[in-house]
Amino acid sequence: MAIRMDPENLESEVVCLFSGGFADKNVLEIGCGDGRLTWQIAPQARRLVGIDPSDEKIAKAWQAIPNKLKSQVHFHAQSLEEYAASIPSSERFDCAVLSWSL
Amino acid sequence: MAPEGMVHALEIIHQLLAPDGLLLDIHPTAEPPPILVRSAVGDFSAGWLQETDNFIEYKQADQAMQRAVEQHWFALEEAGEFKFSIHADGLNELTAHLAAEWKDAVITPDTAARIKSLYREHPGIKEIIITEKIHIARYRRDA
Repeated sequence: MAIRMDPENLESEVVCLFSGGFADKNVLEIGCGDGRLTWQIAPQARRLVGIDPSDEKIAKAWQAIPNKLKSQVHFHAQSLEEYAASIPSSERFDCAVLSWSL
Repeated sequence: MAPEGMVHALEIIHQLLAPDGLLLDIHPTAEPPPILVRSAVGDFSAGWLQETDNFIEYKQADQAMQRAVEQHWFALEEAGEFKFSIHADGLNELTAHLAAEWKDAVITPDTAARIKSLYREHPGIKEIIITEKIHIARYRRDA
C-alpha cells in the first residue's frame, strides 16, 4: 500500500477513551468523509449517521461499508445545516463527533 | 468555514444533541507537521509540511468552541492531544495523496530536495512519515 493512515490506530483509541465508549449510543459524525473514523466508532454504536458535503466521499463510504454495519450506519451527502433541516425536529443524538470538520 | 459559520454549526449541534449529550471535537493543531524519512538505520528530519490556510481555520475553530462555551451551549469536560501519522512509500505517492486529499498542504521545493537527497544518501529508505498533532476535546451539552 502506498499510503497508510494512522497505522498505530491512535485516533481510534483516543476517541474511544475520550467518549467513554459508544455502546448503545445514537451517534452523529459530522465530516465523516469516506468513513475512515466511522468504521472505528460504528461497531460499538446503536446507530451512526455520517454526514459530509462531498458526494464523492459519501459514495466511497457507501462502497466501503462492511456488511456487518449496514443496518446501523447511514450516510448523507449533506451539510450539517441541510441534514438538520431534513430530519424530524424531535430527533436527538447522544453523541456528535466533529471529525476534523469544524 | 468562516468563523460565524462555525459558531452557527455549533448552535445546530447543540439543538441536535439530547440533554446531557456529548460533543467530541477533533481537529489538527496549528503546529506545522514534521516530515521524517525513515531508513533502516534511523529517522531523518526532512522539514515541515506547509499549510496555506488550514492553520488559520484550526485557530478559528478553537475560538468558535470558546464562543459556544460562553453561550452555555456546551461545557468543556476534558481536552488533550494525540499524534496522527501518514506513512507514504515514496515522495511521488505522498505528493499524489496530498494533491487528492489535502489540497492546502505543500511540500516546499527545499523539503522535496532534502527528501530526494536523503533517498540518494540512504538506499535502504522505507517510508516518509508526516505526523500531525491533533486536538481532541469532550464537551457536554449545557443548558
